[in-house]
Amino acid sequence: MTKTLHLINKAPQHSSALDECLGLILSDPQAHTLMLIEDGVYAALGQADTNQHFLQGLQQSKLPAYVLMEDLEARGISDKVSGVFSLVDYTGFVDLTLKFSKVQSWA
Amino acid sequence: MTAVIMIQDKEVALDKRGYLRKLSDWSPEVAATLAQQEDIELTEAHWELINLLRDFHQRSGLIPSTRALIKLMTKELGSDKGKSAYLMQLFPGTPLKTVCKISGLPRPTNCI
Amino acid sequence: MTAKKQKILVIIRQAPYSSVLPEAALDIVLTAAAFEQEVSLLFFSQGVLHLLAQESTDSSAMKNISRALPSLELYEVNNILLDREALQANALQEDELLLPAKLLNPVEISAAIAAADQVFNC
Repeated sequence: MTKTLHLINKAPQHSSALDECLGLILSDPQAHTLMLIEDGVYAALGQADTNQHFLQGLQQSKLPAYVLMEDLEARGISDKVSGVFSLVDYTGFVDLTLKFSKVQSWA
Repeated sequence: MTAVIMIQDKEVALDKRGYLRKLSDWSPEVAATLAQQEDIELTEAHWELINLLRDFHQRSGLIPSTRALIKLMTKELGSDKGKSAYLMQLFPGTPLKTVCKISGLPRPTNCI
Repeated sequence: MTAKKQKILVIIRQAPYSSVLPEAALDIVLTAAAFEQEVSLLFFSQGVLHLLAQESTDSSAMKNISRALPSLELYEVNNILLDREALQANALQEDELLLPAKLLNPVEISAAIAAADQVFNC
């Protein structure tokens, strides 16, 4: 089975990338994993109203989801992350990309 | 570097490869002059192709690849004309580049 | 080129005039087709709006790719895929589209992405 790591680097308020990506992958959590980087990490803010529908969807689907620690720290939000995400650092991110047969960037 | 040729008392600017700087400068007289520089005398068969290419470019905004042009020729001019040999015979050398130049289109970059 | 043909999937997700990405995507399609690769083009999300004929493009500084789409068959790009849900969300009818396309649901879109050797997600 092809396993794909999906990278989101835009904030959900500025781009429909996360919505579009989740629309395709939530139904098949075995084949896909989500990773937030750069401004994409804002989607991991656990208390933000605008994020609730993503977070619920992620929680229900049990799709694995990661967020890049360095990008959270740079934005001062590393203590506000929803529990559905696992935190990884750059090294962990690189390890992750090696584990997947495909890496898909959502521009 | 820009060259300027005079056609019917009008200055027409060419780029360093001999293509029109401004596509709106094109006229049948410009085409005839550009063809002369390539040692081609334009016949009815040439014009048929030039008109086809100009119409395609105006309609689609695209510059065809050689294969796409031959497919277009097959579709619009019939299968006996939709052949690379026919294109070569009218515009020898590098046919796509030459026919684009004479038709006042930009230089094809995807020349395959 | 002797290498095996690559299955290339280009995805257009942005609406006309929203950015230069759709134009870049079309360039990828034409280049890949020139190299005789197996190219598919998927219009996803707001990207489906490119399938409507634009009435006039003169007033915009940006190019639009719609007028090029009916000529893609000359480049042997025949596999045009469309996000069925986005079509419905935008209240578009199949018969008003610029060219015939295969309508796919989300599961089929996922499968098309998984089946491609290279995906350009624009």
